[in-house]
Amino acid sequence: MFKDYAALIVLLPVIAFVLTLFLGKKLYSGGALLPIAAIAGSFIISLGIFFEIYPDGIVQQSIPWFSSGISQMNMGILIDPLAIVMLLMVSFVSLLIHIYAVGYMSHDPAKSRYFAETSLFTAAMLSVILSDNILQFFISWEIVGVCSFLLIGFWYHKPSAAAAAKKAFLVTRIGDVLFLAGIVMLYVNLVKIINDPANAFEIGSGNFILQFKTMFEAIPLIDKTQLTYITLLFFGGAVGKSGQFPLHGWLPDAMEGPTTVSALIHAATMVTAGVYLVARTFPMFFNTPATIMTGVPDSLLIVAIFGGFTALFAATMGLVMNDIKRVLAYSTVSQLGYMMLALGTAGAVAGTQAVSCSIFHLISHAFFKALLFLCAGSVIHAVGTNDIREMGGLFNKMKITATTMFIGALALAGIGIPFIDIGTAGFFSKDLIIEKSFEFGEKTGGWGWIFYGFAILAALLTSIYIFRLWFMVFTGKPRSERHSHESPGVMTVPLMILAVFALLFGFLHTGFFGYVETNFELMGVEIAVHEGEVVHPPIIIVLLPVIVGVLGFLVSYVIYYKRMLDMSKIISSENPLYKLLYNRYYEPKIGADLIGVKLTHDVVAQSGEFIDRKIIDGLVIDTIISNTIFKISEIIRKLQTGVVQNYASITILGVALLLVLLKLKLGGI
Amino acid sequence: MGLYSYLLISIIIFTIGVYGIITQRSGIKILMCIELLLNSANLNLVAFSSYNDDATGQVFALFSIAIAAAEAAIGFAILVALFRLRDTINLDNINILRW
Amino acid sequence: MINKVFNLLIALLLFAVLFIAIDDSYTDLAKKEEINYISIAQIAGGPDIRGGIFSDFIFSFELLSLLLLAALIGALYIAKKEA
Repeated sequence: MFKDYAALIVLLPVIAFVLTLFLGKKLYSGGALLPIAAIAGSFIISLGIFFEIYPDGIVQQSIPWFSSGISQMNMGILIDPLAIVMLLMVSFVSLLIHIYAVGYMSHDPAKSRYFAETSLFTAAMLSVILSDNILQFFISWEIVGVCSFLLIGFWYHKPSAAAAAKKAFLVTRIGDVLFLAGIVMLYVNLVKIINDPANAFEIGSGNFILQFKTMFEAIPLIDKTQLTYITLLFFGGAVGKSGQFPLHGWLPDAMEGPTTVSALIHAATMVTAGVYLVARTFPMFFNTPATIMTGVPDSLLIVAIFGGFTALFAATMGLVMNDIKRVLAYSTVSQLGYMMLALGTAGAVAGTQAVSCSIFHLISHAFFKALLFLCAGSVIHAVGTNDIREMGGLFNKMKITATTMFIGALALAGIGIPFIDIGTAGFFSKDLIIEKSFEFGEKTGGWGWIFYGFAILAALLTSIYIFRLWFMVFTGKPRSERHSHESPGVMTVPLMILAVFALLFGFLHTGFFGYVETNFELMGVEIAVHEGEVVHPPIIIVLLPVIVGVLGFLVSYVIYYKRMLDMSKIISSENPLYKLLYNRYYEPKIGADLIGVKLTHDVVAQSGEFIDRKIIDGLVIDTIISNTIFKISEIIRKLQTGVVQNYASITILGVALLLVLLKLKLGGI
Repeated sequence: MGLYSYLLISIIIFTIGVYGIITQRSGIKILMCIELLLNSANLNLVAFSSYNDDATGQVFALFSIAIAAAEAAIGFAILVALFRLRDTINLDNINILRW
Repeated sequence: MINKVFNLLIALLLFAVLFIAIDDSYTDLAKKEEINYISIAQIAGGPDIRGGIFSDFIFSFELLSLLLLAALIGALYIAKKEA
């Protein structure tokens, strides 16, 4: 029954968007109720569909859209295990954040615009998740990017916010161009395969080209190097959207938007679209040839490299940031790196289990990162500043926020008890990724161990910075005279709900894994995506992530709570390493100043101007040719007398001559 | 010689009209010459109508007369407006199209 | 002065061309039977102009009336005094 209403999952928020956009100011509570109702509706429908299709059903609906040449494109819905878990997560988290935003944005005069834009964003994200062909995926992806731009620049009167929105859009655009190139390349290859009579490949009836199903069926026939390029281009799109190195710079700047925007878009949903893309097209990644490292498909190796490096790279920067949201932003980038690392390493080791690993971490990350952001928002709302150096000692005044944030920090650091399997969600998801990277290192040896190094070091740094954040904000003496109060109920209730999920979601892992692993089989895709053997790493490796997490907690405890070491004496602000990290590896300077200003302006534009002025103009200004042309035109100019009768006389002359010509040529009129 | 003479007259009147248009300065004279042109065409039409024993030519001459009247009316209205603007009808000075 | 000569030449050229045109075609025509003048008395009531205007070319006639209306209004508008 719910299956028939699958399209409403996307349409309800769209309708809410349109209505809130036009009627928002006149509605009660500034237009907040309509999107909340719409997203609640989407969540209920998703829940209904989940109960209908568990454990082995799929919803597939499509209508033809337009045809170009021989190919027919369609718009459609595909809800398989991968999609349904994402749908549930996105709609649920979006719902909670909307409810929170009612309290957070209550003083803002433009809140109807805010709710309209987040409603559109939710619709687009849901559309990304349940689209069944890559063209619709791309279109929804772009709409998501536009909404991100609108929402980051929500307070557009602030120049920093406008600049951050522009940067976000441009940087993700680079990724989008790569993604589009990948789609085009894929299309060309598919058309080549279809037209080649040697392959007995036909699009099944009721299927369309560019549907994921067709793509997967054609995988054995696509030329392998082409497949590598296509998947790498898709990954390029994911790099842009999910903020991997080198396109990561926009995410920390995107914190200029309201905190609820950061929670929704840059923690839980939009940035995970990149990971979702790789997970969706995972059979393609899996079947690329293994030329660089034996036993590891090429694209998966590249994915793992970028992911692992980003995980460590961002974690180093999170250590020194003083803005509460920046720390969380870098944490997000780092955790997205973990998700990509999962897809890469576990993909080589364990086949489809990689998808379930990565998506499990994605969902648990969504819960605890949204929780952390919303707590940060609660703190900012209460205290009025983002700078943690001005906070401190807030625990007594904001008990609910403090405890839920502590739970979120525990989840992020991956704290839990290994062998009896009790722990926070992050324990199950993140530590599993670290284990898989260990297995990858065992399988490949040599360079393969670097991924494990990345993962475990990043885990240590993660634990350090998140507890540093917690201790600096909530404990100790207040560092400045700032009034603070606990947030209203409409803001704390979502925090508590998310904290419950952050604690308990991990226990669903067996059912989750078993369900999502069947994803590609259920689609009817016959690819040899095999399961890996169940390997048990040595005990010390299993314990190590937890040890690292607790170690980070102790380090922060010592430094920031007990104040036994004063960091500013050990590492002064002039320390070059500190400066490197604090200035974010000079990435903004490189990006904006070097490439943007110096390269484009000084090199390209000025040389262009030089050529234009001196060389091209030198050819025409004040030379013989130009002067003679001027003189001739002075003479010919006199022809235009402006007297209409002269024109008439010439016309008559022309007619007469024409008649003469006719007479001569045709011998009579 | 009947038809031939009618055609000849028509051509002569046409040429006089053309000469008048491209030579005269005054706007009213130009409009009169335009009427000459139209009348020569009408004459031509009627001559051929009589020669071919078909009333169509005369019907069209009728239409042509009506149209000539309309066009002359507009022409005079424009001249009146122009006179109001420039206080002259001497079309030699109305040459804003020049270089 | 030179203007008038030039224009005269143009007009004479046009006359010459048109004259040659009718002359040539008339010599062809003249080879046919000399036209027989139908006397007015032979045609009952004269040429059928009524059939021409009101049945064959009724559409043109109505359009012509529309044209006259437009010309009327246009001329009035252009020539009216600025208030």
